Amino acid sequence: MSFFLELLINGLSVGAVYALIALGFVIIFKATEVINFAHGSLLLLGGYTISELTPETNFYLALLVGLTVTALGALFIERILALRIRTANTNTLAIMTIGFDVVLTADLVRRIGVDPRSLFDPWKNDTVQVIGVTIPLTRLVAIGSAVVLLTAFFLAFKYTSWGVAMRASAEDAEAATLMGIRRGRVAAVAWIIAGVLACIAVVFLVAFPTPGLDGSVIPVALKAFPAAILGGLDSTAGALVGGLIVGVAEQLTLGYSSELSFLGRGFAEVMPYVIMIIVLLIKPSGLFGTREVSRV
Amino acid sequence: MLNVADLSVRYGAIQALERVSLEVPDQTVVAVLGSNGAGKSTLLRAVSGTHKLHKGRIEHGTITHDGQRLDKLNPAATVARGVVQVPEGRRIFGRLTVEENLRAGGMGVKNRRQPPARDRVFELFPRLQERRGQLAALLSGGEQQMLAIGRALMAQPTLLLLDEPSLGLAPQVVEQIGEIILEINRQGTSVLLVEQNASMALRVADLAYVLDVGEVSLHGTAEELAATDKVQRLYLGHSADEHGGSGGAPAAKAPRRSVARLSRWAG
Repeated sequence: MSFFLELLINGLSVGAVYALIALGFVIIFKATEVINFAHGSLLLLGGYTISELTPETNFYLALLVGLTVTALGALFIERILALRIRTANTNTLAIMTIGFDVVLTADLVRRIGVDPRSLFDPWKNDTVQVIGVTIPLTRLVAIGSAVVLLTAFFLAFKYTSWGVAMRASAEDAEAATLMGIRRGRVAAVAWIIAGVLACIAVVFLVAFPTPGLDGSVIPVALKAFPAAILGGLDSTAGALVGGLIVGVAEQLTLGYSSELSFLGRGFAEVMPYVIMIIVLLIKPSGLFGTREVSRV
Repeated sequence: MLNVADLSVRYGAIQALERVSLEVPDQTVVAVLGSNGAGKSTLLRAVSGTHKLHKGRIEHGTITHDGQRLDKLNPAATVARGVVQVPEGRRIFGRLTVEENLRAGGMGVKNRRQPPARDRVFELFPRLQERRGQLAALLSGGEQQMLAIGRALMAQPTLLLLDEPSLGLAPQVVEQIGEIILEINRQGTSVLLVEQNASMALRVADLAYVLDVGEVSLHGTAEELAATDKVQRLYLGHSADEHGGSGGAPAAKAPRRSVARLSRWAG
């Protein structure tokens, strides 16, 4: 039982981090209808910046710079795409983001070098006892941070002018334009938020008990992609639920891998994608993807 | 005052407007009549600056509002200048609440003007106040049209552009929309009304234009136009007896109705 609880808490923690990344995919998609395949490299950019700066200053200052750099990186890509967003097909723009991803990742991986780096976060390898289970402190901080960030995001999405403008623009871009809503600004804010969330996520993805920051963080981060898809690519709530499902499923598969050995070794790696395929077969628009609410 | 001079708009190979000139003097309601494809929506898009979203291009001519060129402005700047369009088919944000729709409508202008603007909208449309917390998709067609108009009024326009507000609505509701247009006008907003429902349009309008395949074929006061043979035959013969429009044709036109309808669609 305590083993199961441990896996569950770990799963929720990893899932909460996936949710942060998935939410980035979703808000960029809602604002621009572009799937941002460069998200993994933005995340790596944040991690790299922090790992460079922490030894010089302290972790929190480095985190602040990392957040800024990632946000600016996201804004840079958005501005480039904005040059063509009116005329180009959104699929073409999505492929452009793959281009950014390849270039940025190649450069960052080269800079990071062969050994995984530490971000020197203040939680180190401390552990805590929760209801009889030993959990790394980083896992709990991850859950706490994700809860705070996600709550703040959902409140902003519901109540701020940006949130209303974003939802209006996602539903009917032309009507929103006629109201004087500037879609470019809405999109720019969406990319900045996505960048910030990605940078927070990378801190927890490479913290204890994982080995540290290197290029391999990207495939890990991209598990947020099936999370976003299975939740519904245009649903912010779907990103949250999808992230948690993927995180918990992955940790449970990992924990019970000896019982699940008939599936083959390392099945936890593919579990998110298997779930995504099953969900999409049943609900093609994802769990919370758009279904029109309308009067018949 | 809105002044459209010699305006030509083209979508790729299709000429949508050809040298159209039109004026909306302050405090008036001006109607633009015309069948499908006559260029009515294109005219409004060119004024609001949204023709580019449809890959349209202004080839020739100018649009000025109180002396300021609108044809060089982006849609947001046009809204900020007090020229706001209610799109055809209402296009309300169905997944937002009534209140959020209104809030979105006020985003083109400075926030501090919102509360009085919303009070005015609720005064004009008490139904919207009753339903303020509901999802807009759940409103009836007439209520959605009211929301679309209310949303545009949140930007406190001096000139309101209305694209086919009667579309798909029951005759009594169309009457109501006509009353609302008159009331909005009484409160000091000019209205440029594009309509296929000529009897309602001519009843509320001071001046009217007829667009025919991209060109102005007739214009004058609403009474003058209602009395012309062409308008009676093409636009009023069909709709006058349905809506009992006061400026419209006599009900005795009934036998000619089918002919009128045919020629209208043929045009």
